Amino acid sequence: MTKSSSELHDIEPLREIPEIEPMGVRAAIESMKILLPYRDLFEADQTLGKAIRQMLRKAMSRSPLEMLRLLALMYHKDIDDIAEDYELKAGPHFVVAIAHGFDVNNVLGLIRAAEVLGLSEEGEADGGI
Amino acid sequence: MTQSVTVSLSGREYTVARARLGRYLDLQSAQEQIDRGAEERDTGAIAEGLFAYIESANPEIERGVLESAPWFEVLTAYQDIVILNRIPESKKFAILQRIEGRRGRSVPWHFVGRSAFVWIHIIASAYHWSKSEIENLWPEEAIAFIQEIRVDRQLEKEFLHSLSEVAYPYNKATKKHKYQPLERPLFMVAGANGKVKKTRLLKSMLPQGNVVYPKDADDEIKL
Repeated sequence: MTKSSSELHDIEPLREIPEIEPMGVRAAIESMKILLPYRDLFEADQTLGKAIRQMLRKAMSRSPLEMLRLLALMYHKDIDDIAEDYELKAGPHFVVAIAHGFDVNNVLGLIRAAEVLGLSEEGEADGGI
Repeated sequence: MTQSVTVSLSGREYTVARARLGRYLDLQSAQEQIDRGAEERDTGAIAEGLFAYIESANPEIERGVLESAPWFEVLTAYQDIVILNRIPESKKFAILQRIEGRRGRSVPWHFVGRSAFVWIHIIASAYHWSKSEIENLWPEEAIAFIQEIRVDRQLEKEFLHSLSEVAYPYNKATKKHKYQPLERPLFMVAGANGKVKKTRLLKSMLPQGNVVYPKDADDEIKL
């Protein structure tokens, strides 16, 4: 019997991605604040997956919780629930979940909207929504 | 010129008409709130400002609709309304093109929403129109009136200045009094499209060493 690619790579098969609604304004503004430091990655001529992986790598050294928070905002969940959902399931699951979130909430649209609102990368996020 | 736009929020369409001065000032006040929120990276303030902006543009749009609408619909509506309410041919108004370097400064008696009162006060004090009459002007008409009022006041000040002794300082070298005209605001000197007349200076009067310019200095003034 042939093995599936996830078995070969010793990772759990990707779970079914839940249907999500687009974010509301407040959640979107919080997401813009999280995404702004990584805008160059999304504006560069590269695939979304690659941009997300680079963002996750950079976020690890900046603030790993930011990415969980971004996911929580896009999936309309508490950060604790998201952390529980993705516990020990880093890597492809996380990338796919974020990519799906960006499919519903266009990432470049969020970056442009941040520009329209005059949000800048500088300063500290106030936290909470 | 477009007089209205249709915005779509939560599956419903709303027609937003171009704002007259009263509503335009409400929009500016909401815009101030958005700008302040963005400066402080305050999500709540930005969202409240956005909602206030769209509600001011069309009071039929309820807060609940805005709260539940997807972010891209709210942002698109906001942008459409901003474009709709741009001052047409704003380049022809010197007063809008030549803003003196007082950006960021605010007077001690400033309060949030004061700018609306300033506009109405300037026009009312010159023409004695009622608040509702002034609010019914198109914003570009109000700007044209304010420009004329400021020009009138400046010319009046110049006349009074010319009657005063301080306008004729004594020059010890020539032993004569020479008329020193009152400085005019930049918009009256440069006009809408014109450039400020360059004055030649002696090299010895120029600053020496590394000149540090203010952050928002125009390239025009740089040596």
